[in-house]
Amino acid sequence: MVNSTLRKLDISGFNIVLSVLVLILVLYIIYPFFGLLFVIEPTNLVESLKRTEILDSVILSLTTATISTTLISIFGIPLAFVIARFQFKAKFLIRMIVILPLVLPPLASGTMLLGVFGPYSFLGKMIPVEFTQSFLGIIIAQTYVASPFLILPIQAAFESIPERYETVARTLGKKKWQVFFSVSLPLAKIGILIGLLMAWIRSIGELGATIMMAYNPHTISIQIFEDSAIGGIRNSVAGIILVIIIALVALTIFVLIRRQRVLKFGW
Amino acid sequence: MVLELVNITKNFGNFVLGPLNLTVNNDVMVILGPTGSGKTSLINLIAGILKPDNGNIILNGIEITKQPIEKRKVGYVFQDPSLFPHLNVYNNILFGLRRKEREFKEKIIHIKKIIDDLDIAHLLDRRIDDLSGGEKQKVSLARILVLNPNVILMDEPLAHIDFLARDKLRIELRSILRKLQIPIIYVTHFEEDIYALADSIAFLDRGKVEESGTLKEILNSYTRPTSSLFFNKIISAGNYLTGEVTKCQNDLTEFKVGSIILYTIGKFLPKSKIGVIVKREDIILSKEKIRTSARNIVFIKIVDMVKIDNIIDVYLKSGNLNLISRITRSAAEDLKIEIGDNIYAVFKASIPHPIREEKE
Repeated sequence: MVNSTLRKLDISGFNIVLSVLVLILVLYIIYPFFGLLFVIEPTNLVESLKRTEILDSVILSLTTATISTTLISIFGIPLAFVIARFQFKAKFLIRMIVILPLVLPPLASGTMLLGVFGPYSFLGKMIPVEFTQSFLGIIIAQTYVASPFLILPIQAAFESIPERYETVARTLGKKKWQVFFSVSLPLAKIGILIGLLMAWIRSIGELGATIMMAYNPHTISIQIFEDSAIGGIRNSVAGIILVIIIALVALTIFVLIRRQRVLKFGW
Repeated sequence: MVLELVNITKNFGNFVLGPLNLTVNNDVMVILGPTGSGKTSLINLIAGILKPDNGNIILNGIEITKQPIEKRKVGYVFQDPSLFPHLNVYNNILFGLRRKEREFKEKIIHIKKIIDDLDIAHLLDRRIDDLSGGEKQKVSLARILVLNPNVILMDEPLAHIDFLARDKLRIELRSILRKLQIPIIYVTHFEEDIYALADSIAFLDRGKVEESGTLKEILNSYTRPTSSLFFNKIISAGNYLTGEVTKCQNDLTEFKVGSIILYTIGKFLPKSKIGVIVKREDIILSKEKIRTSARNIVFIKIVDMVKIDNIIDVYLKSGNLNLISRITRSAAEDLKIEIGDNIYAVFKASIPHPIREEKE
């Protein structure tokens, strides 16, 4: 307590530099939101919110992001657990592979996905399913790009649980899979919720890979892209407002989760 | 129940545990040993957390060496209580039980009895973070006891508990563990744990059992030069006496060891059995009967004298009473004592340190 009070009152050169840097970045981040205020015209806004393609694209994004997040979690939670708990030779390689979609430009990922899922690809010819320009195409793009956002925080959460809880549960008569569901998962709960939320919000924001895989049907990100290409910010403000609302909801959930317990991020 | 370890070995690369041979009956075996002597590895082998390279672990005639951890019915109390932080106290206690089991009438009665015995009924709704160290360890014991384990392993359970609570919990542990009638292995480095809890002792050093025996055998044995200062210290605490209380007045308790009457401070019920420790250094030897404030004066025969550098351990015997007095070499020369002499052994009533009371 004493320390933090002192730190607040302390006016040193270092603290002034820190404050200025913080202020600049914070202003920079919120500046575009002020810009938005000048282009909103209430009558126009209501009009554009009524456009069916805007609502359809929001619904499409919410649905696909939810399905993608579910899919990633089915495979990603076990993967995160394996990386956190097991020692094996290929572990380093798997960790690197897991972050590939994070470090690759989404447009590059999308192009590569198109290469293997497109109508003239091996899979495209073999399986009579429309992988591209479809609902499925959106899911493929989102799951690929958003997977590290789910896996990394969940892996960190598993790593932060002392292994002895799992050992104790075994000595209390629980089988390995029972331990996973009754101890590992509940203890990693906060990390898992954050991973799910991050993958979900990343899926909603996904543009680069989706443009390549499924320009149609339009997700909200593609709708905003198209609207602004045609008529600039005034034309796309409705979509932007909707994604801001979604983001605010996600942010609120994030804060509520974080408040429960401080969780270590990163590797 | 009998737990037997037969020729157990485990190679850790830079350290080899075993070959170990141990038999634990339905009582408390305290395992002592310096850090890195393999104490925790030993109980991890019994629990199934580690797999031995060779040898057999046999519980009541049944080989359990290859059984998975969860099948062994081994209750393990860890140094850190490791209660599940996502469950409250009651759900921690129920953790090992299957859903159905939790509703059996006999089981509910059993659980309630354990909760009462451990005096934790008032904690059941609490979160784990709100418990003290001692309370946590009691809950972790309850969590094991509800499962009716075949064996209990305890790895320094009192190590993380502040000393006042530790003394109290130790006394409670004694009465709880005695009732169980199953093999219990208790790893510790506290002398007090040994005196209060041990029925037998095994001393582990560099992966091997160096000494083992009942508490009485170990404490009253001749000093054998072992490499461990720690173990020598335990042995030379010396003079573990058990006797029956005959009278108790104003905190002065009179008890009988064989036909010899001794005194200690404390309140004990007449006819109860008590165990006391009398340190070797605290016994004064005198050639003549002296009028003194000391309550304990025993006329006793010298049966042996063991010289260690400049001190001498004088072994004394009268009837059922065996005592060892540690005196300096110059004191022995002054007194001119020899084996076979009769002499007075003198110590104050505050010297015998009562370490347990066994109500029969």
